Amino acid sequence: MPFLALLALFLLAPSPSSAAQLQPECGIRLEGAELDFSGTEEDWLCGKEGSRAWGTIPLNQKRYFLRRFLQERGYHEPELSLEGDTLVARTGPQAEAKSFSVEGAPPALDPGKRRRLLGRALTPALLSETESWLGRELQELGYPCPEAELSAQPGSGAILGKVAAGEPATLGPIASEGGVDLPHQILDRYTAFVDAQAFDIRLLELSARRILAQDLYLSTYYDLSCEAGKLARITRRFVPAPPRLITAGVGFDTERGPLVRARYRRVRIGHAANIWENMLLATLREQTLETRFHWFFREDLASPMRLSPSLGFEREDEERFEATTYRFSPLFMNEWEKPSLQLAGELGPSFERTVTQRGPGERIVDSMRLVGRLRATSHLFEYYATSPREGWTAALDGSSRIGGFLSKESASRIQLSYDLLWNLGGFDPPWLVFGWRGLAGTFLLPGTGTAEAEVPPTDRFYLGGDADIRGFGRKELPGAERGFLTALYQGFELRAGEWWDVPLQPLVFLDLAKGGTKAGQLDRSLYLAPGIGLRYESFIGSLRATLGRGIVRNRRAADPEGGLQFFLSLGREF
Amino acid sequence: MHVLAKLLKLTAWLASFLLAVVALTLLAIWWKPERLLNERNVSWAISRFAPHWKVEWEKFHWSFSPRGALGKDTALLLHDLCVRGPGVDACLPELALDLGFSIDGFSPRVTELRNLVVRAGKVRIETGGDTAQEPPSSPLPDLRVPRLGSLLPPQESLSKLGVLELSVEELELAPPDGPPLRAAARLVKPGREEPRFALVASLRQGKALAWKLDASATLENRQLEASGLVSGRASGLRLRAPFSADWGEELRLRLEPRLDTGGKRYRGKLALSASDSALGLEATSLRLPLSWRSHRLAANGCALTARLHEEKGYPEHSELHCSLHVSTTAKSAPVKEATVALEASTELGLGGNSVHADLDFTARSSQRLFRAKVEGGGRLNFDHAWRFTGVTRPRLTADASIPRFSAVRGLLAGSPWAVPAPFHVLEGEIALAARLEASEGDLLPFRVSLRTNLTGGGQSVVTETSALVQARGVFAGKPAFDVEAEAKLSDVALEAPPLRLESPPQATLDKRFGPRAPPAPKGENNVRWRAHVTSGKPVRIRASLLPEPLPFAVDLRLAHDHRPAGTVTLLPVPVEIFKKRARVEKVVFTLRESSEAVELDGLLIYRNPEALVRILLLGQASEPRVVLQSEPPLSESQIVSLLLFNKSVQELNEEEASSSASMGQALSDGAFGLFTLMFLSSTPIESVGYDPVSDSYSVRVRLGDRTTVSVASDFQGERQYAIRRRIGKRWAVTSELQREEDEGSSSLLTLLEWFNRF
Repeated sequence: MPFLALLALFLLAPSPSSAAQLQPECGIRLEGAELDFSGTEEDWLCGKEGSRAWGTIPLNQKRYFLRRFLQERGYHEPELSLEGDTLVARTGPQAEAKSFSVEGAPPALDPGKRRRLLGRALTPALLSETESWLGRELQELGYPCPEAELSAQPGSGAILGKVAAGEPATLGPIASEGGVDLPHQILDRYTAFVDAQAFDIRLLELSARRILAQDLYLSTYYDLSCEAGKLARITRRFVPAPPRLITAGVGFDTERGPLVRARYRRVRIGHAANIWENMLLATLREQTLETRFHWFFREDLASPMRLSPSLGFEREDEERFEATTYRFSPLFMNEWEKPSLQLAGELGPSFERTVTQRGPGERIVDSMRLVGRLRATSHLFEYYATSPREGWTAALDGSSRIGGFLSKESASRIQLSYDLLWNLGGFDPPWLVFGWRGLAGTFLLPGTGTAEAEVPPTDRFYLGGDADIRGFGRKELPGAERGFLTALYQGFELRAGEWWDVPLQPLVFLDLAKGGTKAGQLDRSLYLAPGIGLRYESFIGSLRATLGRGIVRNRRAADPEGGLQFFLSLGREF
Repeated sequence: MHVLAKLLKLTAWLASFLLAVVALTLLAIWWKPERLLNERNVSWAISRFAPHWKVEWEKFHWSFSPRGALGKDTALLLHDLCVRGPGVDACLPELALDLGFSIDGFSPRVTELRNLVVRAGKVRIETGGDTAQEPPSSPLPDLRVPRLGSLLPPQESLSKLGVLELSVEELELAPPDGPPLRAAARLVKPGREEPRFALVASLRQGKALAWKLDASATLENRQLEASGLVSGRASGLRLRAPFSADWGEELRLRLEPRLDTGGKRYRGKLALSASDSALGLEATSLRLPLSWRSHRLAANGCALTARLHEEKGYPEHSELHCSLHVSTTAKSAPVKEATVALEASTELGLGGNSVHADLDFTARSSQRLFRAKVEGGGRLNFDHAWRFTGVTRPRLTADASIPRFSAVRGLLAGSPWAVPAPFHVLEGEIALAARLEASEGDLLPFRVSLRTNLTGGGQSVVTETSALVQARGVFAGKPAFDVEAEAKLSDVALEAPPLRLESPPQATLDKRFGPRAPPAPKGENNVRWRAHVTSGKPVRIRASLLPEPLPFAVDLRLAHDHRPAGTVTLLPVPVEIFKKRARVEKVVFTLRESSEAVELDGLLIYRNPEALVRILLLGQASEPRVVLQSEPPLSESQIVSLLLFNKSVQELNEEEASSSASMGQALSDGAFGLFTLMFLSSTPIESVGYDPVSDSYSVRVRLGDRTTVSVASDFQGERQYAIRRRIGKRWAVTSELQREEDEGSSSLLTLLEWFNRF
């Protein structure tokens, strides 16, 4: 509850402002609109108490200032008149933006894709915002040094932009300046573009965010220097950070309840800037303690290839099982940067002991596995991760237990998962975002029949919950404890973009899943979950609430009945 | 010789004979003039000597009767006389003349006009094209008006004047182009016993011109008295002028004209007196509208008197005394009325083929608001056609002053020209003086000085400006002015608009709105000016956010054809930077003719026990770049942390370190405008965020009451996709893409985090 109270405080607290309506003794009466003025504006209109030079403001000067302040609020043709000693301002209608056109822009720039512009009050701030948008769009389209100039006709509501896009540019080697205390090759590990790739400001920002995510620097950014519309130089600037970071955070979702995470991270170890991180994550369902060391062992410091041994334990207390896993896994990791995506791979052994307190399979399963993962993530998916709108990611995971070495039988688990997002119409901000995610996984087991018993519940497929089929409770499927050995899930979601001033985004979804209690086979049951939901993009992250109805077709005896299922989460995205 | 003598004798006889014949002929004609002057001979003479003219009449009767030995009475009567010839087509229904004449010497003289009746019907005269006008014999008009008696026949002849009737029903003057000019007139004297004349005349040309005259006159005892009304319209003006006149020894004309020109109405009373030696014009209650509809110019008691040249009749000496009253009914006008006393005298003279006028004038006005006096004179030169050719020895002095600025302020209050804050609390005097110095050719050099001595509300505006204004072509109708001014700000102290610790309001209208004004046509600039502005005592600007007024030294050169150039220097002054005492050594703003940018060169010094910090302000005023130096040498981040938080970098917490770094970057990037820098310097800063790509910043400042406010430029782009958003000291919202290994999907984990770096 304290967390919820804190959350409510964040969401509902009004922003600090000294704006207020004018006092009657100011001698100004507004008609037509109720407007608030800042303290400084009030001083300029009504005079500042105690000031000999500005204690009173002559009437014509009041008119002068009032016209400007009204323009700032979108009232461009006020009628000012004098009634006795009172200056009466009939504000007239607030001008609205009704059309937007751009001259001089490259064909790739479509001003019609700009949403949330028409119908808004035609204010200087709106023009400045639209100017920034034009410049930003051009920087995303390959023009690093654009110049945009806007003008507007309050009567017709027309906004006209004049653009000088400048010369298109490509990305390449980047100089570093500022408090750079690491070899620049280390920073190249996190670069999100390749040489000679077309300029896109988002790739620079993404590169900076990757560096920040490693906590190597307090702040990092890419500085563009332009000369006569041409990119002269890109400079990477830094603010060094102390090497140790302790964090303690809280989160929440209805599946797992309160979430607590504590972390200790030590970065910049050795000349290769190795990383040691320790994490404790605790929810009502899961508790994880892990320590991991990223050893960048190659002489080429720019290479992200590393050996990442980790040691940890994980306890899961789910409806269908309760198990604790101890794991030591020294994995080789590497990333390859492509013009539009990043490919990440992991490979290595993993030594595990799983103790099942409750659930299917043997109580204690020891295993040595060969673990591998290949994940491709588009840059746009990564860039818009906190406000998903477009891009994709796909991962192929595989782990193979080697029979005769800690395990009796060999067994392999393979899984393909993906997330795809489309910004329908390509509007900015988005109008509709369509998402498609899916998972397909199964086990490859020898036909002896004993191998299945050595599959711990933590490896098995349990469906249901906010992460997949949202009409069922967390890991509710299958109804039996033993879990699926084969699973197929497809989820579709259509979400509104920014439709209103309040960042509420309604959504509809349909999730489908099938499972098989045997490896490589799917049972006849079909699980469906149509539903609706609401996403609220607050300044502390997105809040999502979904209400799905679980439906089971070709139902088996062990399958749950289905029904309504509600989820509320902070930060989780489709 | 004998032959010659005979020839001479013969010639003498012959001449005597011819003389006798001529004498007998003339005697016969005098005896019976109708023998020669009759209808047949007149017809023959017209056809013989004017073959291109066709003259016809219905009835022709010309009779003579003896009147003593040397006199005759004659009566001519023509009915339906029609005359047609080159450019003329006229018909006169009746022409009757009855007069007596006598031979006086060898020429006839009219001794009695008993009846004259000329009744014309339609008379059409085609006027030719260009007709060269003969130049006047003298460029100066002969304004002498003779005594009426000298123009009239003897009194005994006048007393015998019987019926006089001159009338024309329609006189049409047809120019080669344009509508014809039509006139009608009728002058009637009914009979010998009736001394009154009646004159009715009209004149019109299309719809543009129409005039009427309706007058009556009495001629008794060689004194003409007339009265009547002239009314009509022409070229957009309408006139209605009742008049009366008498003319005996001198002509006196009294006129009350009402003139309407396109909505402007002039009216008043004019009195003209003219004789053969003097001319006088007096205007009373004359109301003349100025350029503005709601303004009026009235001449109260304007009198022009002129002494005429004895031989040539031009006004050789004139004097004007006039009291002009300017008034307005405009509600917004700050000054409703003003009275100007004007006195002038002129001596006109002829020099060869030119005219000159020696002019002296004085104009004075003394009002509650202002006092003004203008004196001047000189010789105005004209050619024979009265074209102005120049002025010699011109003189002009003008002095004007506003003795009480508060009176001006009071008058202007509520008007569109009200004195704005902070000047509206000033009191004192403004004085303007102008002197015309020795001129050369058409160059008129004026020495002008303007002095203000205004104080009030803790402010002062004491300035002295002197200027040389050189005017050319004033008299040629193409004036051009060169102004060289030197302005000295002797003592100027002003209070800047009040500001609070929040985003400053929009002070000027955003020009991005509304129709774009077309570029002004580049006409010939007839005013060229240059000004040099310097300060005596430092110009002090007091700002509400600063404890001490800022002293400036000004040295600027302004001109009509280039940007301001020079320097404005902020002089040494103690200041507070982030609530720490520091000192401005100098901040020089340099303006150049060739650039819009204002160069910045500033040095501020902050001392604390650990270091002496030099803050260099460089670059441009719109994007000042701040360079930090110190003794002993510290890194930029260390200096910023000293300035912002009075701590070394090692002592900073996470947020302070980030803020220091962001501030350092923003300062060196010139992200803050000069105003924002001043604003930020005036209060402790809690945190600074800066995104160099978008050049946007967010600064949280702490107010005295422990509350905080944020000042930000466009920070939206950075906020939207940030992975760690700091929401307070050591608190942040962190978003991470998580790999959920058992589920395969990637999900976003968002936490509200406390963090600490060390």
